Amino acid sequence: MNQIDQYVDKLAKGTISRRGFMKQLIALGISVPAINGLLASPRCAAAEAPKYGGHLVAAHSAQSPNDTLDPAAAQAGIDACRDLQLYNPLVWVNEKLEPIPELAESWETKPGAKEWYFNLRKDVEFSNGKKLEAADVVYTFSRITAENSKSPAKPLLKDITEIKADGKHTVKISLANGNMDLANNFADYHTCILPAGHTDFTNPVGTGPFLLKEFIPGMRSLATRNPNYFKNGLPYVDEVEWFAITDGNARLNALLSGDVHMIFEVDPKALKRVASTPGVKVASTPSGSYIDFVMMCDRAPTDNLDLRLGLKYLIDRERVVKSVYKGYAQMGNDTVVPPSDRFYCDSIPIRPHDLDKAKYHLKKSGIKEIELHTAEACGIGATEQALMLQQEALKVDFKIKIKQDPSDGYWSSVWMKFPFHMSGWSPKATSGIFLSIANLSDAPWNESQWKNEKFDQLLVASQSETDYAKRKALYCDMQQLIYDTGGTIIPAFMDFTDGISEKVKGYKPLPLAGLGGLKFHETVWLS
Amino acid sequence: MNEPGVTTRNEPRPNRADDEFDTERLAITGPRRLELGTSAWVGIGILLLWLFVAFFGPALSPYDQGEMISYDSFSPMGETGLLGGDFIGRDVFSRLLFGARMTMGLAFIATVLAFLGGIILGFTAAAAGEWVDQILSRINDAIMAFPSIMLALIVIASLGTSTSVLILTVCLIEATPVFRLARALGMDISVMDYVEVARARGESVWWIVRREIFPNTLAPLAAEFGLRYTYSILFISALSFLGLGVQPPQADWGAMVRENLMGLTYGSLAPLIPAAAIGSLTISINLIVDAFLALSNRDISEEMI
Amino acid sequence: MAKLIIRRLLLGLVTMWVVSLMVFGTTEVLPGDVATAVLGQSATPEALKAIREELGLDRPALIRYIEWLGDLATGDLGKSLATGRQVTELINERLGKTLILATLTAALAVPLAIFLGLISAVFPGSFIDRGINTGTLALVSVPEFFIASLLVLIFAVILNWLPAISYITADQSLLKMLRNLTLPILTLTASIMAHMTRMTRTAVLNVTSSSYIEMAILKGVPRLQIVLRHALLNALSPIFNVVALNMAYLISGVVIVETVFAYPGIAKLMVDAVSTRDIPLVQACAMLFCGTYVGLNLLADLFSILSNPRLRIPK
Repeated sequence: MNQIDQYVDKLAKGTISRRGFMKQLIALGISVPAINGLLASPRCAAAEAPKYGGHLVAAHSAQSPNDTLDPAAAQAGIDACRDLQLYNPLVWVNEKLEPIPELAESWETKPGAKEWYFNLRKDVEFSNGKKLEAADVVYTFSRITAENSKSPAKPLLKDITEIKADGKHTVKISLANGNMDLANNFADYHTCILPAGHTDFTNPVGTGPFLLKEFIPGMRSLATRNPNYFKNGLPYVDEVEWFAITDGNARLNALLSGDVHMIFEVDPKALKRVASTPGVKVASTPSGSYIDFVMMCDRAPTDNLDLRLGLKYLIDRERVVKSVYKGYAQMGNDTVVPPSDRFYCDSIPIRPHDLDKAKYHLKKSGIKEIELHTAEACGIGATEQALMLQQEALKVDFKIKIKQDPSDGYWSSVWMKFPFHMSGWSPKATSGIFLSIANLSDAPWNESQWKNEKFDQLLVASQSETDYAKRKALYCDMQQLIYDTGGTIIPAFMDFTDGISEKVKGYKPLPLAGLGGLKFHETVWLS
Repeated sequence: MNEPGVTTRNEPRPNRADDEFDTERLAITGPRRLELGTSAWVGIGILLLWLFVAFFGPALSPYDQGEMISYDSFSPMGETGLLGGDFIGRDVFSRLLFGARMTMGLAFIATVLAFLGGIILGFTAAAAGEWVDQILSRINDAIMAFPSIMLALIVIASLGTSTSVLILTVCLIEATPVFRLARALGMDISVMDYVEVARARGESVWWIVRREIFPNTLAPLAAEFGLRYTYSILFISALSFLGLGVQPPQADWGAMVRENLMGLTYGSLAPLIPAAAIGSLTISINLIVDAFLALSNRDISEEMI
Repeated sequence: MAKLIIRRLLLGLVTMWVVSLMVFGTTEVLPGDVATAVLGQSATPEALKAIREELGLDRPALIRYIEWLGDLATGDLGKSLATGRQVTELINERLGKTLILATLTAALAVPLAIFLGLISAVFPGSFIDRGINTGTLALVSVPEFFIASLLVLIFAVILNWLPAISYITADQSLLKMLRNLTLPILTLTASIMAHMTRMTRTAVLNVTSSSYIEMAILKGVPRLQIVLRHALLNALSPIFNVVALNMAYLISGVVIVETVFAYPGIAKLMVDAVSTRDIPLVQACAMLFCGTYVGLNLLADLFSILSNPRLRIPK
């Protein structure tokens, strides 16, 4: 086989990209028109065209008999994916986490961002034939905001004062406070749209790309292609099998041996292995998920600012990224805004790993030792980060005692109870949401109990500010406040690292969640 | 479920004072010679080695158990440390030495406590009246009926993952077969002729215990101790695998296997070495116990639960 | 003999009653309850109180115990607190899978163990005997999760002969099912062989030291015949016991194998139930496991009695 044929073969198999193919051929001296001719040839063209059919098998990392097909009640990632298989939200997001149309084809607001109008597509049908109308959206959202609703998405929609249909295909939403990012809230899988009045979730009815064939909570689900999907041509695969393998090693082995096509969350330590195994590859996306050290500001000893600053200088962020996440992470600056976010403040330099400053602050605080609580439930790499901090502390004569708690029960008995403990977060649709959930003075999930009036005012102002530059300035001020006195150490934002088989094509990574925002099934095909 | 007369353990031994029935050749031969086979000596050798490591290991270790000596995971042998690095860049060899003390020590304490409890309660059940015996036996059976990992899970979920809870859990689970054995031995003995004779002679209870009971029970009890010890080690490592055992950064062989399991796919030694350590320790003890029991004409399988 | 059997049954029931007390007691002391587990991060004092009242968790322990015991006797295992589904439904989903794995493993391990044990007994002290001895000891000395991981590495990842995770469905062919279950079956077999093999050997050898065997030897009966015809039958009692013990383990204790192979069995169900403090489910599983143990032991004793006429007369 001559060289050109080799590359054509590689392109056909998908082991190099189109761009890679062109680069190689140019290096060989082939002219661009000739390359284009090759690309147009039946063999190359066929290689890139999506193929219909096939049975896709994908595995998440956790499941339980509590798994549900009711989007409003969904608790976990495994539910999120099923919801996105069977239903659609109003809005979706692109790789910059900007909202793009889904069931809503457009939306607008008046100045002040308090009144919103969402215009629905007119060509969408539910799986029972009923056409999508505004009343369905009203029903779906009202379920979540209802007085006795137990939905985890309730805080997300708490500012909504009124939802009503404005004509057959427009929904009017009124807010108590202006919110420029409202559309992003509706990309959340909890808000997937249900037909009005529907309550039987053992027989789900949705607009989604797949129809439910079989579902055993805690074991697996099977869904088949919806031939009537409103996005013409999609999806490609005939069937999606979706379940979870909780043991990380077992999950990895399932991918490596070809039992499953895609797995969620590959431990960074195994990434080298995945990258070097033929037939599988790593799919990574920078994201806003992080693991943090929480220093509660309302109790001793962590209410001491010097102690907090000392610990912040103690952590070696670069080493966390390199050693714990093998480079698949970005350094954090102790605020919830990741570098990949459009509102990240570049002007605040990342706090360096400075043992002298650490020693100075720790000495000034007068505290010699502290106990750190952690658990595997905080996320992959939590224990390693804790161990690393412990080792650094030894270098400045400070003692950190690590207490590993069982994951089971961590969130109810340890989190937000002990002064110094670890926690973990998956990214939200916008950093603004994050700031209000985690840093606002009276937010229930303000882990560090850091309360700053100025911050609260800035946050409210930024929600209704329509000018991008002004918003960015407000965000910068907020980040500076957290940087100076805040109670969380965020050394790194972890990339989503998933593993997928080379047979899977058309995969689009998304910073929203692993496996393409858990919506991979819509666009992938099997070669 | 252990009614006398149904299991072979409680059948009286053939009363052959001097003659022995040679099971090897299925023939009657002369008195059995007292000798330990080569396998027993191998076992003793390995055990002594590990005991040495348990006592002196941490002092001889090149690095501290929590020290990170490499940026990389699973760095190969020789490059970092004698046996390579573990998943987070610590020295496997050092952690092995520290872990010996933790693994062997924890299991030892738990087994000793289990033994104390099991023997005291077992002998009591044998010596006291029918009612006490029934109550104790039913409770014991109830605990045995529970799958051990589930029981451990519930106890640890209730009381936390501290070392003392771990010891308590293992002790509870390992005490039950000890109880059974002690009870059976106690019952066997109390009806033996020579005890009755001694009693008739007017010897005190203590004398009877010391001179008649102890020598006859020592062998099976010692063997049982060895066995319970190995089960404790394996059980603690199983708990560590499920995240319930020894917590980081403590070095413990079972926990080391678990946290480095991913290295298996890289061909790293990190998970293999502690597993081999556990295996060699338990095999050596089993070999010793095996030989020991052969001396007293019993078999290890009768003690295995 | 009937008297003996009835006595056994009654003892078994008493044990089960003690078990029920133990199960109920331990689930009472579990910190946190289903209310906190279900609400998780969204737990507020009012929501907790509401859920507790709804589920009847605020009534005194003794009343709940008696109620529970009564329900149990009529076969009502209650509703899972976390999912609202019937406990019997949840268990049924998984029980079948566990039983399939247990049965297939026993079908391999038990005959193999007895066979090897017999060989050791027929040629005691020989090279074969020592080999089997050391081999089984080695298998039981290594942690089970390690054997499992090693098997997966070799056969699934490197050689790609067998799947890394074991999933079986009703519509699979028998061959596919066996293929999927090979690795877990091998792992479990390795775990339980040692005990059964050794016990077979011991029991047979013990019996061969009895007088009537002496008689047979003196009469010149060949050794193989002695072992198979005369000794085995009388050695069955302890063998039944050890098989029962291991069968109980196969049904209730295989958490590690279920974790490594992602096999949806009952052991994992109980582990998850403890995590979510789903008390009715935990209690039902516990009673099921203990009942299995007690029941299997009873069966073993029964077979022993039947096989050995001497034992039919209580001492």
